[in-house]
Amino acid sequence: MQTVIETNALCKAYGKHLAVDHIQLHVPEGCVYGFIGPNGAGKSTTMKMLLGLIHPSAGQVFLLGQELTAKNRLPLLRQTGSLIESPSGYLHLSAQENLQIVADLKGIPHKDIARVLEIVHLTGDRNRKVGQYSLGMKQRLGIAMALMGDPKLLILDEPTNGLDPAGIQEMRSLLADMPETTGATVLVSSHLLGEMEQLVTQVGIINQGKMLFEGSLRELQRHSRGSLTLRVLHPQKALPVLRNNGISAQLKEDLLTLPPLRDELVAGLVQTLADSGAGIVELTRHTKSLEEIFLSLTDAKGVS
Amino acid sequence: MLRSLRAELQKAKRRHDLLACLLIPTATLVWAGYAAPDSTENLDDAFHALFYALPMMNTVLMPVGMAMLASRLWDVEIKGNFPKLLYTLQSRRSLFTAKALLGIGEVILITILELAGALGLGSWYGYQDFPPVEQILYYFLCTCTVSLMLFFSEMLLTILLANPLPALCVGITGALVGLFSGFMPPIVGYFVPWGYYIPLNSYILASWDPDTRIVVYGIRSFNYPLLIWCAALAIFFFSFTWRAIRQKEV
Amino acid sequence: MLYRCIQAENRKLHASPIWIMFFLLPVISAGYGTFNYLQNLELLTKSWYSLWTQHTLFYSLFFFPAMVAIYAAYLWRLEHLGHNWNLIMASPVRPLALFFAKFVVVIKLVLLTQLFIFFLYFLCGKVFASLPGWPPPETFFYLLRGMLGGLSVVALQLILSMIIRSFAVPIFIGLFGGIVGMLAASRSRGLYWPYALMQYGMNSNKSEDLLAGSYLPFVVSCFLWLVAFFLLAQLLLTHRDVKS
Repeated sequence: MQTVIETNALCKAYGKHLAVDHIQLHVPEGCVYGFIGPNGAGKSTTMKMLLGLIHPSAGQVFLLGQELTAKNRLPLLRQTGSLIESPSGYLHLSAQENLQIVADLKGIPHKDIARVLEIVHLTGDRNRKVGQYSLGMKQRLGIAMALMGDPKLLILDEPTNGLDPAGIQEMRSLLADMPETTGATVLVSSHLLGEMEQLVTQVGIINQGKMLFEGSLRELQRHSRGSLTLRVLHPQKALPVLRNNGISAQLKEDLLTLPPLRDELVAGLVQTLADSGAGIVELTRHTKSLEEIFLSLTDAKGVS
Repeated sequence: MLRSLRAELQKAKRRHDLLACLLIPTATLVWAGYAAPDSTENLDDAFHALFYALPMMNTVLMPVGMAMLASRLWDVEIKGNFPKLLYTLQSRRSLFTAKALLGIGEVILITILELAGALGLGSWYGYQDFPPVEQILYYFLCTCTVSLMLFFSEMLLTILLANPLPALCVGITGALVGLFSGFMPPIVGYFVPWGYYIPLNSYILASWDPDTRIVVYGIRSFNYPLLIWCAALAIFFFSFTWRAIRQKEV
Repeated sequence: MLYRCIQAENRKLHASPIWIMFFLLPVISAGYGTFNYLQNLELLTKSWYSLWTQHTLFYSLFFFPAMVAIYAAYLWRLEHLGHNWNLIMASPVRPLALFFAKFVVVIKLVLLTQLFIFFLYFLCGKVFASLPGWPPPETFFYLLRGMLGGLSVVALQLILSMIIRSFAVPIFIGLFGGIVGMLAASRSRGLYWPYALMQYGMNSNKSEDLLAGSYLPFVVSCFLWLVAFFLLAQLLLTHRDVKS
């Protein structure tokens, strides 16, 4: 599988502070890649370097198999759609006029405007001034601008910012289908892991300018496994069973807290506990918050 | 209150407001320094000549300069789409008071720098007719009052229209009209607030002979009625701005 | 590519309030000029030429640079607001083409302003001052020369508004530049200062031709300043990070 975006030891320094610190990014073709990290982790800075908006202090960027240089920047940008630090758009103009400007700049026929407006459900509001739009509508207009001209690569910075839950759901299905419907590869950033889980297949996690993890979502989920809470009718019967299996459990009122366990182990444990007559009422798995994953990743010095 | 002012000063620092403030007296002094009589000319009435010319320069520069200061103070909130947040963090009164205080401080600073610069310039060249204290005070008072009046009128425009463009356009148009009013019959000047620097000025051209090119300067009595009217206008724009901020929907 | 950029710029000007400015300044300038001309008929004896100086003196000294500055600041404010600068810099056009498109759009506005000024000059000359015949062709030529001198001011103001994110500061700098231009021109150093070139071209403060017999230095100076500013723009656009 070809990588559509690749960076090699990409760095950006502001003064002495390294906002992006030797990032190695590998985005395979035809995937939706989630670029995840807290605010200020360096996501936007990295994405801006991918587009040549800011200049790397060190390292290289490869887009669609070619190194991004001042010379081939334009042909590469022609195949790229982007949304950076949204929302943008000229407030005194309508959505239609804004998209005409983008069409002019990208050199694509104006009939594409109707298509992208349809995709983001702005057809009915296309003649209203963007200044009167809600944040969510502006965001959708930003996506429409990025979609103009059927780009092979979409780079979207926090596209779900400011959207309501329904809008987020819509955006998710739109982006998740993108590789299938248009063949595009999508790089999308977010500070919320939960938001990305149903959308992306590949994940890169960045914190304080450093890449902590890069790989498939399944791999990451291994790290995100949190502790288990077990509620049983007879804790006193359950405790010896757990002890015998070498699991240190803590009892608080009638709830047992177990450390993170592999799926197979949990399945076996449930069987044994049921046989012991402890009376299982409830078993809850806590997924770790992004912060906790960060902590576990930094503790493990990154996993790949 | 003190906290609001400190927040405002913090914003001003990041905006390099002091530099923008310095730009205005620098412009006046470059111009004045160039136009001022130098040692080859008659130095007996050189300060008269300088103070006769300064209000004319103020008329060209201040309407635009004040529009610059006023629109910057408010534009920082428009750009950040910030009023919504600010109104929840601090009362509108303290926001306005802080901005007004900062603006008044800037105007006073600019006037002092301009005045000190002009006096220093003249002393450096060895002008003989150092102005008496009451003339200096009167000049300071007039320049401050007119500038503040312009400042608040342009701040009002920026707030009402949520855009710095109209204030700047009015500033430039005002400068043009104000300058023209200086060359028209004196009565016209009373109807052009942007040019009030000129009718308020106590240094006048007493006579000018086109053949011998001999210029005689004079001093006229202070124009208190116009100064009071100008101060009233300034207070009017000030309270109108306060009303606009209070009633502004966010 | 350039044509597409210009088209995009033109769209942005649609429905924008900048057109008020375009009407206001020339009308005021013409009104004062005519009034002053009629008041001083005994001093201003060269009919059309005298009217020309009255109409254009303050305009070309102070307000032309300020007006150009407003046009330039307005175009850049559209990019500085929100994150539009990211948007257009990430589109597949050369950064200098974006700059040049803005240049062309400002030139178009300035050209229209100049023509409007000439129209008002003609109108006031015929209707209010009752001057005989047609305005001398030289005045129209002055206008075009002023345009040529104004080109580098346009480029410089576009650069200033590009790097200074404040709307108002470049406008004040423009006004200041015009004043320094006036001072430089009065010491015959105007060719070394871009803001003075427009004043030279317009020939506003003297009835005899300022540039008579010395066109070459003027044209060379206009050209050199313009080239210098475009090189500077190219340098800034390709070597600075986009801050949006």
